[in-house]
Amino acid sequence: MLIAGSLAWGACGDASSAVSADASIADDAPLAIDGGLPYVWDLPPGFPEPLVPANNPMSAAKVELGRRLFYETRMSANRTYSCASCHDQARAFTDGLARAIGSTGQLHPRSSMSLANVGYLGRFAWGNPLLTELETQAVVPIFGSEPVELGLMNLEAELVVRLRGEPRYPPLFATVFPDVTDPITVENVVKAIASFERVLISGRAPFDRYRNGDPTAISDAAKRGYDLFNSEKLECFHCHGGFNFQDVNKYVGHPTVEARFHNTGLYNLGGTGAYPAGGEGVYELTGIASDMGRFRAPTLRNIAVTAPYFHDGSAATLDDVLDHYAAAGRTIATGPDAGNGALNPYKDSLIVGFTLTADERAALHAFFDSLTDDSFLTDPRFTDPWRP
Amino acid sequence: MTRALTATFVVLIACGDAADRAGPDAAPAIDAGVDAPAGPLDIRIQFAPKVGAAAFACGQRYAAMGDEATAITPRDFRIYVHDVQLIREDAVRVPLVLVQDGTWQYQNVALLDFEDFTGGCADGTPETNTVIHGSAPAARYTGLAFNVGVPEAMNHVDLTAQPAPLNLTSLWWSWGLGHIHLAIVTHTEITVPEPATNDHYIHLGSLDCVGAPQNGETVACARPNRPYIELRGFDPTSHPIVADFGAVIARSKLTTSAGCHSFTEDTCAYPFDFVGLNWFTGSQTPTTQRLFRIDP
Repeated sequence: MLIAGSLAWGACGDASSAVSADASIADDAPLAIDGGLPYVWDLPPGFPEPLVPANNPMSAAKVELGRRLFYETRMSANRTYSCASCHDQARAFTDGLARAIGSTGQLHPRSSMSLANVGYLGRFAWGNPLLTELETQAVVPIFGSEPVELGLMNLEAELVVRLRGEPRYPPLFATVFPDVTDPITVENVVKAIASFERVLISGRAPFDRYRNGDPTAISDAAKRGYDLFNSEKLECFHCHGGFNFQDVNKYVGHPTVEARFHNTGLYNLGGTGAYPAGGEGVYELTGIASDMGRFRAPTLRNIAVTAPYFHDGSAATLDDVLDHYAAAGRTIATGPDAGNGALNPYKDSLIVGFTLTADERAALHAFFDSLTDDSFLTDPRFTDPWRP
Repeated sequence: MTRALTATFVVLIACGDAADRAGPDAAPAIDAGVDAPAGPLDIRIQFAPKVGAAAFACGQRYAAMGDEATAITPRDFRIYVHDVQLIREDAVRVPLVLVQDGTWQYQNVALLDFEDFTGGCADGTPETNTVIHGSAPAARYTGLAFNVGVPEAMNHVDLTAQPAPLNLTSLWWSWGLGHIHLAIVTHTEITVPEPATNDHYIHLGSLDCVGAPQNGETVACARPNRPYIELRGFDPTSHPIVADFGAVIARSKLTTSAGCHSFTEDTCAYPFDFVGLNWFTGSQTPTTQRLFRIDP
């Protein structure tokens, strides 16, 4: 009901000119609901309710504003990039690149991460124990200069001017943040984008239908793959468990989480345990030796459409990923990154290696494919609202 | 030499400890020692930005800078300071209570902004600030002490909800969830592979931090990287303090684009020395500090 209202309101905003949009918003019933009643989530069966910071309550209007800002090229200094430039819905909000490229062409040290179910995360980015909320994470790509992503460093005032210049924004911000006289602020931009990200929930894949009682939703091969995935032979489930196939989630009723990060033996430069400079994970922030090469376990939802893999995109395919874990760590024979990752002294103790038959490998692929949520990849609520 | 340095260091730390207690405890001492002290003085501590002996200016070309004697023009020169204390002639430290001006000063933090966003200064704002403005009891003051950087309690919070001067995105290490305590950045003239300029950054910030503020945890950094500065033998209420852009980069290889983002030994060891820190240990080294000085 509320979702339908939200959609209708969004469509109204799209179709109207600036002036009539202003009038229609003021009279629009769903927005009145926003102001009075708790936000109603559209959660897949079995999914818990995401936790929301007390200072940034959800509303349908805020989500829609955040969606506009997510796809807004005024959000980059040179007006070429939006958040969506590196987070493409069709790829579960990744970009298909090994490492992202920022708005000025700078190569990012990390691979763009999926935004599916980010509202449940306890920590953000690939390995940053300090970033615990979407609101603080969003500042990184918008304003960060090391590396430049959207490149708005030092342009916060200009961003406000730019947004004021788009006729849709002043009434939208005024509706979403009614208690302030000047609602177009960096703080509110970030709050709206975070609210949009919290509704990017993926939980309607074939595997979910299977788990929710439809035995025909996935193939027998996928079921065998799921059993293998959960076996003590492969040990995958330890880091990729639960409703989000991930080891750290927070939600209503489960507000605090441990920060868990893992060295999976991708590198072992010179046998010292080192990872390549600039790709050292949690160690870069804490300076603690045992944090070398530790990264967050990403969700496996939609994993078949989010290649390449790992923090630096150094695995091109899921077969490369399986080979890495089967070998209990990756060996690089030559070059500056040479070393036997399996012998990395900081490696997680659950990376023990295994052998796979061709049939087992195929079964795992069938399971991975069953996690692709087409309704999420095409959900019209998450598409670019600026496109006619 | 090592022993002497250590001794100096210990004495200064001891002073710092005393200063922490000096606030409330010092007031009665003043009352007891001085007849009917006059009302608080309105004090403007002046800073004079320089490059060696020359005045600092955006757009100005400075020859023979850094380890390789290369020509540069400035890109950024800004410094956060906090816990400013006047040193009375009897060596007691007296906190300077900052004017809450809504722009440059917030609580016990002030931003010194020597760049005016012209002539290649590309990171800051047109407005500049070379003054720390506050009040303290009337007395004869012969020195000044302060810390460089944003204090820990204000450093690791949501930037977008912070008041000025703590809300500048260009002085925010978003990935490290903290501020850039000090920014000294050059456009360095290079000739190889072709004539151009290269930007060399000195960005000082707190490192090796753990804790999640949103979970109610305190963020604590093993390397706070907040130099403690102490200057004596001058009247801080009337005599300007030199802030020397050139001194910090005197041994830096400015033609390299790597710069010092506080991480790396090869680019940070010297600039850390010159702001009064030991890069290898993270400890305070006031005797190696060259950024601030008092000219006659």
